[in-house]
Amino acid sequence: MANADTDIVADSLLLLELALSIGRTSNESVNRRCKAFLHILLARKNLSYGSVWICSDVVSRDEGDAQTIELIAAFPESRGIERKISIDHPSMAVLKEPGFHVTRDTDPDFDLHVLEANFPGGSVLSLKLRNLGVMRLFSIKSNAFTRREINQLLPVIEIFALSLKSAYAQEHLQQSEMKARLATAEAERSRAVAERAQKSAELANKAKSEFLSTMSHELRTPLNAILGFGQVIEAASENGGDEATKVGAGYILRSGWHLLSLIEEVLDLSKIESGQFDISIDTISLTDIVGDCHQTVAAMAKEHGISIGNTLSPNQYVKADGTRLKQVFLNLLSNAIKYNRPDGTVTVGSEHPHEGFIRVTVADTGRGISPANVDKIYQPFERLSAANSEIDGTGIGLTITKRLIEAMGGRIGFDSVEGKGSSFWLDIPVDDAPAMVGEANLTPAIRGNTKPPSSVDENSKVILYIEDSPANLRLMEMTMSRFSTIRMLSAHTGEIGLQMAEAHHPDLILLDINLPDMNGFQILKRLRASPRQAAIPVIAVTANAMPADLERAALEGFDATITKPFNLDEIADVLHRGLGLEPSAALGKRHHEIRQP
Amino acid sequence: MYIDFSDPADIVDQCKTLNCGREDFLLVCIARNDEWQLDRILKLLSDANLRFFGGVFPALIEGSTVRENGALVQVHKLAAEPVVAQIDGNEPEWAAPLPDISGLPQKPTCLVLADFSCVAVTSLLEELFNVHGNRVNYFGAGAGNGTRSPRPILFTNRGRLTGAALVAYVVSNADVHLRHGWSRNSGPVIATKTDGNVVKELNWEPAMSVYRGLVGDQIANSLGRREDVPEAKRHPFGIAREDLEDVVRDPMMAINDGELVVLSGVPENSVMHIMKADNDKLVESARELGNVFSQGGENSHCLLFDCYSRAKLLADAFPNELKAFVTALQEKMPGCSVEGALALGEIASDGNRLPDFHNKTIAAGLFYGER
Repeated sequence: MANADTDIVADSLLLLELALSIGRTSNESVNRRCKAFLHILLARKNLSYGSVWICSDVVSRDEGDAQTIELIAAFPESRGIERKISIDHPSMAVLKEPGFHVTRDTDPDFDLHVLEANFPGGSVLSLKLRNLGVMRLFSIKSNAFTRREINQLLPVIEIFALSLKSAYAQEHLQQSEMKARLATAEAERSRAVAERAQKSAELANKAKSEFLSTMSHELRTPLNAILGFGQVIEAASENGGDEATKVGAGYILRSGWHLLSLIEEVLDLSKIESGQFDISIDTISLTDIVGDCHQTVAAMAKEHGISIGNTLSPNQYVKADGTRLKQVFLNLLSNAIKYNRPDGTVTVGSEHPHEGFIRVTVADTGRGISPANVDKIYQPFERLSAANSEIDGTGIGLTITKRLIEAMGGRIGFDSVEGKGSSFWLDIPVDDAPAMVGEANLTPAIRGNTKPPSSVDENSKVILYIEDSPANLRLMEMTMSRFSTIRMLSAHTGEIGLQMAEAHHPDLILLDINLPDMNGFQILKRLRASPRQAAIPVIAVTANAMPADLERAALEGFDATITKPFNLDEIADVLHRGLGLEPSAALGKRHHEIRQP
Repeated sequence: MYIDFSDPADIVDQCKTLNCGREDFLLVCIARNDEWQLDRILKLLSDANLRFFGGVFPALIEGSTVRENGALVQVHKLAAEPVVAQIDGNEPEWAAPLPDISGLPQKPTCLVLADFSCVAVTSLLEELFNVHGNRVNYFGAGAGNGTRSPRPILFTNRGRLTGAALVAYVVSNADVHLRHGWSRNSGPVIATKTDGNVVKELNWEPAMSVYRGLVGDQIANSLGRREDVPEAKRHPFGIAREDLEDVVRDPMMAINDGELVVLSGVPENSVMHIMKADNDKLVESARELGNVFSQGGENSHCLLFDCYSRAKLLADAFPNELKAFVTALQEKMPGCSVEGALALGEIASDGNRLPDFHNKTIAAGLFYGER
């Protein structure tokens, strides 16, 4: 009895030792778990070799590998010869049996069960590891692995199998996590690339913006002189000059205004494409907008012998940016005039609002658009058949028009019959009429155009023009000479300008923004700080015509801004508004009837 | 061949008479009392163009006599130059790849000499077993002068080695066995927490308190005393093995308020017992060991590594142990020489089981057939 008790204690301790040795740390790999367990088994039970075989579909997680089994751990490793065999191999017979299988060197088919090198004989015990695979243990004793020993081992092997299953689950989880980490890293890398691209795009955009601003200034400055003197020459020739000068001045002005409109349209398109333009959606009177545009293009239509009809329903309101919408209509109307036939007609009409949009059409009786050109109509610089004609145009007006109307949530399209004419339509989001329709609902641009001229004061006025460009000074002097009651003083630096303002206390100051010694904003600040000069109207004169420049000028306190190249009508308007003056002679006719705002 | 030299040159003179062949190496064991002459010995051997490897041991064995001084020299044909491994870390680091032994005509023997103070000896044996399995015998000993810190007590032609092990592949027929005669006295206990050769917990309690409970205060308190043979040395641990003698672990000292240092590593969760053995049992085990050998022939010679602590335990009776072994062996193999050393750890396995690093054990290797 004492011996039996001792045996039980010894056996229990063996099992305890084995059980405690299974998967001692959760982060052990499958191979390490197996080798550690085999090591304990071999040392403890005086065995010569042990191996663990796992079904390939468990190892690779590929169900296609279900017919093979792989050696994943052996101790000592050097005795393992076969690495991957069929699950039908005799040595793996236990896979199809419950629990275990013992083969002894006294069995006739013993050799078939041995896959290992240097096995002199003895016994092989195969233990099934659940549905994972097989553990094989070798003893050099023929009578090893009694039923009692095996029954003792089975529960421990079951725990070991569970440990392996857990290890595989963990390994697969780690692989999944690794894949997820790789995917996350890839996503982060992509995000970083995107951020870099975004940053690069922002830098490029900023560079483009700066380039546009510079271009605007650099191109407008020489054009100022060309157009200004052109207008002066033309005005002089109309008052008794020779015909050749008049014709020459006309060429200069037409080319100059064309060049200016080209510059402005290209810059406008660039701004739209780079997203550097603002849209301010408001409730706009469609009737007023179209009416204004009608007035604007009336002279041009008359010149081309085109009659304009307007069948637009009254009191139509839309959600749009008034300035941009006007730009859209002016473009469509000018195209309809330019590309019309002699004595043709342009008709502006509308349909009943439908699904939140009102459709406005601008139809002409021109040559129409050939089917071959339909797809090119909104392409920039694509002038279709007009490219070789005498019709002015840059080829980007419709491109800008389309971008603008879409930016305001609208649509543009056209129907055209070659030889009969085209009808461009705009779908614009409709809006309810405002509660009170009046001056307050109109945009500033519209208000400016609707104000009637005020009365004229004929008292003598002094204007100080601070400008470093001799050409611009000369041009302005010639312009001012048309006003009989104006005396113009000039200064070519800011400092001299300030001294002259102090000495002469002019009625109005024209101030160039870019002066060599100080900029116009600094001069304005000093003027406003002086009690004597603080109330003098100051007009900024600048070639920086970007919206941001104009906005800044207004914010800094300029009373108005004149952009170079000068339009003499604009100067007259400014003098009229600022001083209530009328010119003593005509200043010339504007040759760029349609100018993009 | 035991050489009782007064001048290291005597060793060289004796070695020259051995007629070493091209593949022969000299196994040289130096008694620790002559360790001070080791550098000169090595220089002279090298100058004489002799190839050698070996170590310092507490004492040497010549037949049934213990020699406190002198040198033991044996000629062994090796498959390659001995391989060096550093074992002063957790895992062995090999200085060179292990040689290919697949073409050898007979099963070689891995002769392992290791610095006994390095606990990675156990890992070294596992790696060797993993690589060679049962294609080699494993035989060897822990070398050292008894100081429990790595010292340059191993050597080859390349010089002295500290914290290292030497593995020499002896090409000759060999039969290796070991016995110790210790039997289970009390326990079992489970080494629930260990770190190398430090047993921190037994049965989930501080190791020292469990040990004290098993052997009593008097014996437990003797640990670490500067006595010739502390009483605790007679109550070692045995790591349980089935169908074999347990693997003995010699208790050395108590540290850190309850942890127990033993001579060699103890795997965690090992089932252990307190062992006992009287002098007769120990001597009897030596006789049994001598009787185990059945092969051999005219050129047989036996290399014996007997534990230094057995010699201390048996004291004056120790020659009886050696005599019992030699007598038993020579009854079967008359004329078979027995030489060796008192060792600090013993190794012997035929490769059909994992080689352990034993304490308080006698390991004998019988080499025959060739020189």
